Amino acid sequence: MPSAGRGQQDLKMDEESEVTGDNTTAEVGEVPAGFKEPKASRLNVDGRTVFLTLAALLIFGLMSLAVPETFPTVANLDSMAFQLSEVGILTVGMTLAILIGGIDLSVTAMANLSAIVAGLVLLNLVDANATPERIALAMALAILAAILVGLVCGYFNGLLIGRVGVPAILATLSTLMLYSGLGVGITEGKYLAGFPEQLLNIGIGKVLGIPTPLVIFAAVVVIVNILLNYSAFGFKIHMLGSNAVASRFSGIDNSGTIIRTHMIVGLLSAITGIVTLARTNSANAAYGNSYLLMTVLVAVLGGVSILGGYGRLTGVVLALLCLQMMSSGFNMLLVEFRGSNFFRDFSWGLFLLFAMVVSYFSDRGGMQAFWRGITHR
Amino acid sequence: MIRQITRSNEFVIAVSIVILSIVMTIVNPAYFTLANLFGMFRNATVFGILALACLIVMISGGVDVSFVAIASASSYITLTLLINRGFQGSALVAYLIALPIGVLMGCINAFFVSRFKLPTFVVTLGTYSMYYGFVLFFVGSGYLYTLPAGISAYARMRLVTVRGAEVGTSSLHPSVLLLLGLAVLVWAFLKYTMIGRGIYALGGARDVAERTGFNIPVVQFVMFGLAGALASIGGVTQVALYRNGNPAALMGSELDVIAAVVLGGAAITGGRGTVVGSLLGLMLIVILKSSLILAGISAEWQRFVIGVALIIGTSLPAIRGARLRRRPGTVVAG
Repeated sequence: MPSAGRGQQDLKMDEESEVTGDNTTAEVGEVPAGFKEPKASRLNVDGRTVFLTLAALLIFGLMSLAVPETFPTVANLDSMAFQLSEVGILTVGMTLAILIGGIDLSVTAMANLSAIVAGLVLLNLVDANATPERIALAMALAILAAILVGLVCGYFNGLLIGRVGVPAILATLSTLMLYSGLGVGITEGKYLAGFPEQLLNIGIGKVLGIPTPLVIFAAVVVIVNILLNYSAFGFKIHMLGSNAVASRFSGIDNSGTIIRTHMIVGLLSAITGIVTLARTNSANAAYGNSYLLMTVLVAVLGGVSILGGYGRLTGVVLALLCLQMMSSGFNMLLVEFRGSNFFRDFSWGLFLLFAMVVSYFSDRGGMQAFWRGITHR
Repeated sequence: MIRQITRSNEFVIAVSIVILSIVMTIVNPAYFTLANLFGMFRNATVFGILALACLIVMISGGVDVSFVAIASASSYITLTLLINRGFQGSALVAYLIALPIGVLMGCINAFFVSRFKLPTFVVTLGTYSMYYGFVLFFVGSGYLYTLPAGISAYARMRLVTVRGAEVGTSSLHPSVLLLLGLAVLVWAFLKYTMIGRGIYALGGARDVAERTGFNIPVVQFVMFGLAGALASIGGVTQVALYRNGNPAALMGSELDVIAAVVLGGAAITGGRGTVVGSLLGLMLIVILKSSLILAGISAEWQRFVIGVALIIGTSLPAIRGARLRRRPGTVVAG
């Protein structure tokens, strides 16, 4: 008897959430984001990938023409690689959070908290006359501690979203305050600095001539891509993001999937924290505040549906490339003006809106719809 | 009726504020003074006006992050314009110039949200970056300390001044009245106008609102325009209260304002939220902040405590909602 009653209640509840689910998809457009996929699957590229690839090539070409002596140089590619990697790892995390139909606003807070804990471990274990072995051990422990912090923070996020049922944007807004508040509290708002020099190897070192952060970023992209496209877990992520009700009725443990996804987001944030700690040789609770909006921007620009369920890492990486080249290029172009990085913000905003409008029309039949849209209104 | 009141979100926050105030008065008598109260009102004025802007968009079911950028951009453009012209007149002129700029920026948001049916959060994320980038690069990024005489006079205006025992003199700025006036206006707009009801309808169920006959684009343009207007008023008030123009002063505080509105019971999914609740939520955050200092806890833990308050404030309704849904035979709105 109790089991029958529960089933009925479940049904009632799901009817309700199904209605709201319908609303949200209808809001964005009559056609769901993944609808056209079968048609384009021959080459496994979609409109967004083509657009971003062209945009990336165009930006590279234009910037190379505009500042030929500084832009297309090895030194610049090198420095772009360093800047791109940290945001990149964070963005992969954000992409996962958006894919399951949520968002994670606490990514930078988790990264900073992990870095602070790692920094504290290092400062307490290593003194001026520590042996290399001791330093290596301390660094291993510090990295372990950072990863642990990331996993715990991610678990807590997942718990709030998956089990308690707080909307993701709210839950992670709260934990953004919580984690960054914890970081500020522990450090009393000060910078942690004075770590062993060996740490810099991770931050500004190179492996076979490639910057170490870029290697880490590439590894993250490859692993997460395999996870998303070739594992049962990745299937669950897509399923949960595109239709939570359907996914539960197919026997997927929704809250478990949410928790595990957010633990991965936490882990990726912790890795970003370690890389930042190693590059700047310092840790602070206020680092990378502007990264937060940037990760969302990159993910959305990369074609990840903000409603979840659809998105590709190739698009995200391409979007990241575009934004990084725009930012570096404009910095060189406008070097004689004050505040050239503000122009970067301006151009990013425009670029995001432009990309959204383009994808709106490509979802509705390309240039024809674009033309109709202009002439009929 | 009584049960309805005691169950409301506003009531819970009001009770939390009262309890917190009683505890704080026992811990440190300096809390229960006019001086402290005035200080808290001062801190709440700008954020209060911004919270109204954030609230009306949130009721429609979208999260607006661009309102702080609109506030900063419109007030800084206005100020630069006035200073370059050598204008010395009344602060009212500053409000009147900033207002259309704010409305225009709000309408740009509305255009993208309405015409292309894009999510508010994504659009305002883009315009946030755009507006800030525009003002900081094309208009200027420096502090403006020499304000026009009229704005300086406005900044020095006082409603009441009290001499506190410990904190020194403390006074109430007339902009508190501005906040109250705007709050009443927004409340009336949301409650008694067709477009105001349309915002709730849009946030509750878009399809239903559309079929009921609400003109959704009009609702969206009015809503974002009003939010832009409120943001610009908040921006000019910020300049006056802090006596300098700094385009980055409000940067990053959008999350604090959103937190206050959410704590005040507005549903991030839309359809629910009140002016009174948002202002109470804001007061709770302001009181929490000032209490910590008075209780002798270092200011570094402020953020942490607000985080804890937010987690409690957002988890409780979620748990209650889940319990209500589980009870057979109940229909839960929102």
